[in-house]
Amino acid sequence: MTTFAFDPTDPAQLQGWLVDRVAEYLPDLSEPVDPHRDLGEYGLDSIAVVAFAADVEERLGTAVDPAAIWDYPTIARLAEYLAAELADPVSADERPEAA
Amino acid sequence: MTAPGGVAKPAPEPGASAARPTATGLGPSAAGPGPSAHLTTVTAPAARPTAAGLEARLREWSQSGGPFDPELLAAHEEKEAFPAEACAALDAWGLPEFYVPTRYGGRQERLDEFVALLRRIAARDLTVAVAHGKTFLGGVCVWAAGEDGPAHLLARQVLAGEPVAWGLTEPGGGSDLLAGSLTATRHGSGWRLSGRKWPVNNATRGNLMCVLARTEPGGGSRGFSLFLIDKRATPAGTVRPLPKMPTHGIRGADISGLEFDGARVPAHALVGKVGGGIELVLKSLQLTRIVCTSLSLGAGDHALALLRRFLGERRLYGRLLADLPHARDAAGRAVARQFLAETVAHTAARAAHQTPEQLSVVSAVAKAFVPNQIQAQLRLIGDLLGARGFLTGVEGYGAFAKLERDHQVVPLFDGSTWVNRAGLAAVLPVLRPGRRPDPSGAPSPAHWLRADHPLDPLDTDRLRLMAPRDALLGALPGLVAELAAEDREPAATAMARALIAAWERLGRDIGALRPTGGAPSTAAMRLAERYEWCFAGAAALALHRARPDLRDGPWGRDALWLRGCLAVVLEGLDAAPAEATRVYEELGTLLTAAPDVPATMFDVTATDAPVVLPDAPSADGPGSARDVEAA
Ligand SMILES: Cc1cc2nc3c(=O)[nH]c(=O)nc-3n(C[C@H](O)[C@H](O)[C@H](O)COP(=O)(O)OP(=O)(O)OC[C@H]3O[C@@H](n4cnc5c(N)ncnc54)[C@H](O)[C@@H]3O)c2cc1C
Repeated sequence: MTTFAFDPTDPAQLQGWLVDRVAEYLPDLSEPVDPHRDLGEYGLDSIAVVAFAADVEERLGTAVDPAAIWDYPTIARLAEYLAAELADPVSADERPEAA
Repeated sequence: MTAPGGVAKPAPEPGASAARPTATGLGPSAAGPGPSAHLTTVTAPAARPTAAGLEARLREWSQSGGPFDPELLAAHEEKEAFPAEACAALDAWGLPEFYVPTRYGGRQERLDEFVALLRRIAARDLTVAVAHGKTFLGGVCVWAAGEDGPAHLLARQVLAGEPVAWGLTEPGGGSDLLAGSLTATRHGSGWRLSGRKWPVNNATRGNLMCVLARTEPGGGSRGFSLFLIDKRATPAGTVRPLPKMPTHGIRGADISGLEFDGARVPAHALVGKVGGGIELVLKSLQLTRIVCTSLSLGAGDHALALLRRFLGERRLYGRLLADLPHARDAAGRAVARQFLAETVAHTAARAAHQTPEQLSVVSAVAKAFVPNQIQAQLRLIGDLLGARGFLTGVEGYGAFAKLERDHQVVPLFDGSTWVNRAGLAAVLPVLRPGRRPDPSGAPSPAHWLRADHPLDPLDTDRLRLMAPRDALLGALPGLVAELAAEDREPAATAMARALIAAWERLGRDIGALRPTGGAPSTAAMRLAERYEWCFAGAAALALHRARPDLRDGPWGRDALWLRGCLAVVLEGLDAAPAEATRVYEELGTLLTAAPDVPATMFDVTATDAPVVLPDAPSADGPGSARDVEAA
């Protein structure tokens, strides 16, 4: 089981960690990553989203379908969703339908 | 769930059944599959139509005057006319039943079986295979969406012989699905569609098309939805066909498009959820990309047959061409590529049942790898055929120029080689060797590649957009260790060890990859290509382990086929083994010396193994299985 230097079930701490991960994918970005902006606006294209999801999934040790990022397209929303999933993996499996 | 009208299966094995239209009975069967009075016959054991049965019919149909008569097909090609007779014969044989899952009243159960069927057709004529097989692609999203109402509706139409097109591409979009501008907006309880789908196979001839449409003005991954359009149910003049495009190959196919001009469609035309279109398409492509490999395998079969004939009859310098070492070497390389391609296709088709969670990777490898192998094989064969590969009117050899043209479309549609490779390149860091071992207890591919292994039912709910791991390459070290422990095949074992070394090198190089937010770098693409080679080598080792029967027979002696596959793989990985020349020489010699030995490891005519499925008792046929479900 993976151990973390932070509590991944705490959305705020997970959000900080995700901001750092996204920044790795955007080496040319000069400003800090805004957790409330759509990831798509950063030029993270659809293939990169799959890679990012794979990366996060692997490091967190919990399933992260790229479709989760489509449904929770900002880091803040994704952090909330993932934190809930990590706290209670069973119920978080039922994602709401995208409108 | 109730089956449509609670009907049972129509009489199976059309090949043996006088009740079904046969070779000469052209035109879709009026009494074809559909509501019928066969309820009472469900308990009677029913022979299942098989690839061997289809092959026998194809042989008949290929005779002079038959619907697959090469002269007729060549004439259609010349005139860019649709191969209607051949498609009608396939309808009458019952091929449409294989486009429909058993739970909706069809016979679609196993992807490896369908790949074998379409391969037989492609080996006769690629245009026919592309034109008819398209309905598999057109239907997949509807089955995967899993809503019983629409699925039963579509099933009835497909079983009645109605082709279904799949409209993803747009004039301005190409591979970029998210660029699609055909828009669906809400209109009353239904929708209104405007825009174009082009180029699309069967767009004009068919009444049905499964269309990807933008439903959010801003687009995005959740901004698209799918619709099943029935042209007959749209107001006149609002759906117009676009002209047939002249093409380099598959000239007779209906490659055209549709233009929607405020076309109103009912609410039930929606397939899946609003906003779920891209996800559904990406998952469906995982199946269709595997099916596309059958087109390549068939082209390879056809070309190898022409090559064999040529090597056996062409005399130069007072001896047969096959006596030239160079000719045998090239022929050996061509067979080895065919074996490797069919191994990957077969493995991918079974993986769809056993490891659907990993199919995003498996299908990308299969679609990038198999058509490319066959392109390379066709180049080798074309080179050997010399003028006969170029002249179109010489005693049957003209078929080569046609199939070579026809095949060129396979690497570029349903996701080009590069599109698939890019998808693979992006996730390479997660697939790096040893990064995420399979959970203990997960069955090795060598287990589910066994001929007697009952495959899990195809379950599209298990498909994922991203594979958490790759069980096949995860099994590679174990497979090599087992081969070494057998201590029977020293030459193959040495090559397998070289493959492990190449795989470990690849792992180190992947480890040095940096993440990127955009398109994968050229270096990452090259790593993905090496990944494909390693995957193919692992597939060959797994198949060798799983199928002791493939160690018998001429190709199996001294693991000849396996050594051929590994030689090609190692060459692809820039680690050509010293053994390679000898292996190709052996393969080429056998190809020419034993003309009756089929140049395949999956000879459908030799064995007709009964289909084993865990919960569909084959003795009773699918009809009864569905009745149980309906009860
Ligand atoms: C005979 C025929 C039948 C067809 N039938 C259908 C059909 O039934 N339904 C349907 O929807 N479409 C159909 N198509 C369209 C087909 O799927 C498209 O040709 C395909 O989507 C690619 O589009 P494009 O050829 O315009 O290439 P583009 O997308 O313009 O690509 C140009 C080049 O860039 C490469 N490329 C594209 N994306 C990437 C990437 N991400 N990374 C690296 N390289 C990339 C491509 O490989 C290609 O070399 C058909 C096409 C043909 C020729």
